[in-house]
Amino acid sequence: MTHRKQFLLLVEGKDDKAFFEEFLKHLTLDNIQVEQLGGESKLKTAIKLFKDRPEFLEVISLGVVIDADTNPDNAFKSVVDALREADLPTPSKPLESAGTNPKVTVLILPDEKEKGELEDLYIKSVEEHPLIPCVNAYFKCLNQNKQPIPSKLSKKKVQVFLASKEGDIIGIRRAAKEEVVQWDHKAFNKVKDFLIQISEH
Amino acid sequence: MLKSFGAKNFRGFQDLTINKLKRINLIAGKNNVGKTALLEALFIHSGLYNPNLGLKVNAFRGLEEVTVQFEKTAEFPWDSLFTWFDTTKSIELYGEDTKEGTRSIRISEVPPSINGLKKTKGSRLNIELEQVSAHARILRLKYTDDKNKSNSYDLVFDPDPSGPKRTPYITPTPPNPPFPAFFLASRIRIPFEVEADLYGKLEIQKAEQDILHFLQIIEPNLKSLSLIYSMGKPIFHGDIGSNRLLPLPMMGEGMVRSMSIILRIANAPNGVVLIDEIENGLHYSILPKLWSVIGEMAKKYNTQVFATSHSLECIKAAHQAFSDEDEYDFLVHRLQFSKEGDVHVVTHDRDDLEAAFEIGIEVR
Repeated sequence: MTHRKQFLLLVEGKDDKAFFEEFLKHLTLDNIQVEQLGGESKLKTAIKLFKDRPEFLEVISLGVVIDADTNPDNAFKSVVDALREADLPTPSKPLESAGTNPKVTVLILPDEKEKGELEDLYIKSVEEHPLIPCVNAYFKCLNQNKQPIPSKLSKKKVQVFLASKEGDIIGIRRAAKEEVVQWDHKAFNKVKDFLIQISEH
Repeated sequence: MLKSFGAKNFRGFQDLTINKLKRINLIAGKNNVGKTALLEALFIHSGLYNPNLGLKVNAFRGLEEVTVQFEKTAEFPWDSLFTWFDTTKSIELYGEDTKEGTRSIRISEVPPSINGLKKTKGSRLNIELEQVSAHARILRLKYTDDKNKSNSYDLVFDPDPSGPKRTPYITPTPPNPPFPAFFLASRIRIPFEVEADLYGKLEIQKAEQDILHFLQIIEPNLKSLSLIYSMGKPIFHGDIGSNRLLPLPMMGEGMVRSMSIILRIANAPNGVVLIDEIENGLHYSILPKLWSVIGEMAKKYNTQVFATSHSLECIKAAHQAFSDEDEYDFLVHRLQFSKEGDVHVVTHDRDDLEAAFEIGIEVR
């Protein structure tokens, strides 16, 4: 797929793409094109590929979102390195824009100070839900039965939580599309601010 | 083999540089960005000494039937070689060869007054001077080698030629090109005789079995290949196991196109083959096999191949074919317009293509 809009948001994978597209719809920010980078390992190559596209000449604002995973500082650094290699403006910290045409802004998920990923935000947004104790109890039970706990726990927690919903909603991609996300929850405030920030020139 | 190439003031290229070339180069880009023009620039450069190649590339575009007019306002056949038809700015084509270093050619139109008395050959004792008329049009090609040694060759159109020379003529007579180069145009039907001639050259060298071998990769049912005069034309016939030989055109456009490509690579040892719109007439399922054949042949004959394509399937097929080989000697060069409206090149290597295909980023 090729981006054709003046505002471009690059996210890690398919799930992130679907999530952000739905979030932008909710915010009625239809001027932002969302494309996936294919994971952190391809960050440098993918950013360079997008930058080299002829359509990129039209881009006036670029947002990049990646997961902190085990270290938010390293995640931010890897984005900055990739931006520098592609000869693009490099912000000094997350959520701070740098440069013009394009202006570049980076968001680290769930937060610039926390380990984790997009799904951690989702779990935060439903932490008051009456079924969350059941989800936690499930993983506690796994632990008690000496079953290995998955490395990306929040992704699994989202799956277990969504298992209670009607239909075949097994991940955040479907959750976003089936509108079982509370977009206005305070857990998503930073994401919302970021999206508004990149939609402004 | 060229390691890099550049063109200035040629067709739509004000200043185009390709910093990295490999044995197999696929040129992509939108319509009218200059894919064919890049092949033409490479073709003219591969001739090194022959100003007439500038007109030959026009013929590849179907413009061979050009009437030359000498009125001041009349368009001349070589005008379109120059960016914006501006013949006051010289064309420069330069390529860095792996063995010969940088070889450049400068093409410019010179007024007959400068050329008025022209030395065609000779020494101080025996100087032959040649007069051209005041209305003559002269295209001068100046070749400069890596050691900065230069030679010039003029293509002269003279409405009032003196002496027995027929216009146009080239003076002095240029040497043969340093290596073979073939340009396979996208639309022009190749006469049977041309293909037969190329095959004949290989037969003389007892290399015709190679052609059969490579065609068999594309059509495994092909048992033998014969050049047979049929209806007055030399037409390739193949044995695919039926009770009679079949003319190659009856086996499909793909076989004819594949044969054309194979014949040219085999006839261009240490040379260059330029193929415009390589996927023309080819079903997508043939493409991976064809690229394997091109890769294998180019390596065997030490031929450098440049091909243009619009097709993502074609680029994917090439990437896949070369990924399966021991050596990935392949690059995709996409031509595109810059903000200023000039054309520049983005080159994609194996890592780029792998990522682009996996993520779904456009590379055409």
